[in-house]
This record gives sequence, C-alpha cells and structure tokens, in this order.
Amino acid sequence: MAEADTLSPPQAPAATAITCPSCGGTVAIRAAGHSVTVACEYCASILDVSEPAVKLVVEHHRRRAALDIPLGTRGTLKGVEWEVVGWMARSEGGAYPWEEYLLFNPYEGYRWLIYNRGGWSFGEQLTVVPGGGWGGLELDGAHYKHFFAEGTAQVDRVVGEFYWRVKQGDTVRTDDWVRPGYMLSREADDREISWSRSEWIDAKTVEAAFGIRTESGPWPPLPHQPSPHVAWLKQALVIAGIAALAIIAAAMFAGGSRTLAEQTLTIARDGNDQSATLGPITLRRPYQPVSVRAEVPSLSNGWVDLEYTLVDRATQRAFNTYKAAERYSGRDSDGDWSEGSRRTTADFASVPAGTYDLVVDYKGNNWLGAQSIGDWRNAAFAPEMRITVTSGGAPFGVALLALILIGVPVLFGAIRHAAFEQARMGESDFAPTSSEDDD
Amino acid sequence: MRTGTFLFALYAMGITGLFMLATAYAWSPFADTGRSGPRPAGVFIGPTHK
Repeated sequence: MAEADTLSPPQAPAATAITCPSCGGTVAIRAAGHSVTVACEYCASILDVSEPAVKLVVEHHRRRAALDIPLGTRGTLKGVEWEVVGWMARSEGGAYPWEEYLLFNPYEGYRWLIYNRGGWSFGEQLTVVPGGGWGGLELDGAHYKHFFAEGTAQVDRVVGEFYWRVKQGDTVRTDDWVRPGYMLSREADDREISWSRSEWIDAKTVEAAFGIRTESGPWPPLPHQPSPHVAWLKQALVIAGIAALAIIAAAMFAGGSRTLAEQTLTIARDGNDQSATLGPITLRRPYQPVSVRAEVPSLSNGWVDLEYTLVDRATQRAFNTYKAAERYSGRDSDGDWSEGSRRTTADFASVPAGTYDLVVDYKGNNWLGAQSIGDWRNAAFAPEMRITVTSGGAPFGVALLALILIGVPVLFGAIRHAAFEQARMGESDFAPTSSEDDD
Repeated sequence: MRTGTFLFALYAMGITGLFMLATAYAWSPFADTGRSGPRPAGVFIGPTHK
C-alpha cells in the first residue's frame, strides 16, 4: 500500500477501470486523467477515454500481446519509480522493428523505455527545439551528429494507454541525431513535429529495475550506444603513460657509459689464428653491461672472426661470445654494391663486479670471390683492428621492449574500440562508403 | 575501479618492475653473452648480395 501511495497524485485516483465495449474485458486505466486513448490489452481495440463515456475508436479481435514487461509493472529508473502503462511495436514499413514502453509517474509525467535489438534506451519528450550546429544539432551544449535521415516509422501494434490518440498504422517521418550515449529524434506528421531525447541504458539496469531478463547486447551497436572499450582505454592510456615515464626515467638514470680498455691489434697477412689479452678491466657496479667494439678500417672483401672471452681473474668465470666483422663490395649489372660493416659490437649482460681480462682470439679472412681487389690483409692496406671495451649505457633495447609490452594491450583495446565505432557508424545513413562499395 | 583497468595496472606494474629488475642486473635479451661459443659449423661467411 505504501508503494501505491507514493505513486498516487494527491487529487486524483491513480487507476480506474473500464469495460472494453468490443470484447468485454476489464481494462485498467493507470494514468486516469492523463490518458486519452487506451488499447485493450485483450483484443487490442482502441478506446477513447478522454470523456466519461468510453468510445470504441478502432475495433480489433486479436490475441493479447505477450510483453516482456507486462503493463502495470513498476520499476525504478534514474531514482524515480515508473509504472508501465502502454506499449507500442513500431517499425520502418515492417522492417527494423523496435518496441516502446510508455512509463508514467504522476509527479514526473511520461517517459519512454525503448527496446531495440537487445539494447535499451530511456527517452523523454523535449519541450525545446534543438538548435542547429555544425553538421548536426546542439542541445544543452552538446553536439549531436545526424545519423538517420528521412525515415518512416509506423505503429504495428499498440497495447495500454497513451496521452495522445494512437492507433495501429499511424505513420510519422523520422530523423535521428546521436552522440555517445544519447539520441535526438524528430518525428513529424501532417499536424505536428515532436522532439525526444533518449539515453542509452545498460540492459542490466533495466533487468534490475523491472525484474526481467533480456537478450545479449545488440550487434551492430545501437546508433547512440557508447563504446564499452572507451572507458578502459582512457584509464589504460593514463596507466601506460605513467609506466612509460617510469621506464624512460629509469633508462636515462641507468645511462652513461665509460671506456674500460682500448687496444690496437695487427691482423696477420697469412690468415693465421691470433690472440691478444686486454686488461685488467675493473668493474665496480654489482652488475653491468659490457660492450666490446672491434673496428677494422681497412677491411675489404673479407672478414675477421672474433672470439671474445671475458675472464674474472678471481673466480676464473668466463663470459664467451663470437662475432665477425665483414665487409664486401663489388660491381654488377646494377652498378656498385657493398654490404656488411667494418665494425662489430659484442654485448655482455649481467657481468658482476670484479677484475677481468678480455681474451680476443681473431683471424683475418679473404673472400676468394672478390675479383677486383687483392688481399686486404696485404701490408699496403695496414690491416689493424681497434678494440674498445666499454661499460654501462642506457638499456634502450630493454626499455623499448618494455614499452612495447605495455603498449600491446592498449593497442588491442584501441583496435576493439575502432571496430565497435566502425560497426556503429556503419549503420548510419551518413556512413562513409568505401571504393569497394561504390564498385 | 573496473576489473580490466585493475588487471592492466597490475600488468603494467609487473612489466615496469621487471624492467627495473633487468636494469639493476644489467640483463638484456639482446645481449650476445652465452648466445654462441665458437662459430657453429655451416654458418656462411661471405657476401649475401644477390
């Protein structure tokens, strides 16, 4: 009873009942004093209840409609308790059907609960005409883009009571404008033009309000359905930005390299194996990267095999790696060509503190396929090799890898968002057409 | 906070933490250390031009 009291206007009864002159069914009028027409929920006949004597407007003898939300159901949306008083099935000439439930609260008036392909919207009649804006409309400072143009909506079925005279077959011309979450609709017939604004609402909200179960969400999305990915995307971008700043700052803080040893070695003309030792090399940080660069300025059409062994004097623990500096050039039908490099760098990671020796085993080789130039190991080319050992340096490679790993989920979210928006906009009368479509 | 946002925040923190750890230990997946000993047999040395 308390619930009924909250919905009862102070001066008028909340509901009354009439007898349908067509089928004899008892039809409740839930918004007495406000409703003009009532569609009998048993036979769908349209009754005029604007005067005390109920008149039959259109007689039907159909089976009663099975509504997902039965007339008389109450639910709370936007903090207001609404009662379902009417229902219409509408379509565009029989295609693209949707349903509209008329909600009533004696203090708030009428609202619409619109069901379309599994999605829900909460609509209200506007008392102002939206103003024109660049490529769309403006209302309350928000911009709406034109989405559907020059459509035709017809009433296919009607049940319950309404504040205007409505019957099956009523037709209006429609236009729709959207922004994420909202739609402006213009409906016009020969007598009047009406504007309404509907807000997309989550199906779970409707399910909780009216105690019903609905289908899964619509696809393609409704014209004004906000992307479910955009909220996550915005937050993820902030998180990714903070993480990226931390990584870049740490990489720069760790930067700064110093030269530990340098030595010039002579490469034998006969191509024999050679060996040299650089050291002592003192590493002070608990762990550090060590780079060994070899540069052979006279290298031409040949290569130098390099085997490095970094040996801890105290523990005899050794770090080993192999490199080759190779450089080739020549001329063919396309002109001069060259490839390779006269320098090569070997990187040692996680080298603990200590005193080390670097053993360099190396061997100069001549490419037998080279026709134009003789053996580069000849004394005339002064075949020397400069070895430089450095420590430290910003870990840009690892930093880039970390940034990519952080960016991948964000990119994935952005792709999903773009796919959603593309599917949504694809429904518009103003969707850009591709060249393939034109073909 | 949404579950997806929370999980991504955890993921980003994990990646950042691993990066800090890698920096502290001077570890790099791009380093040559231990990648190879003496040149494996069959590795071609010479121009790859055409």
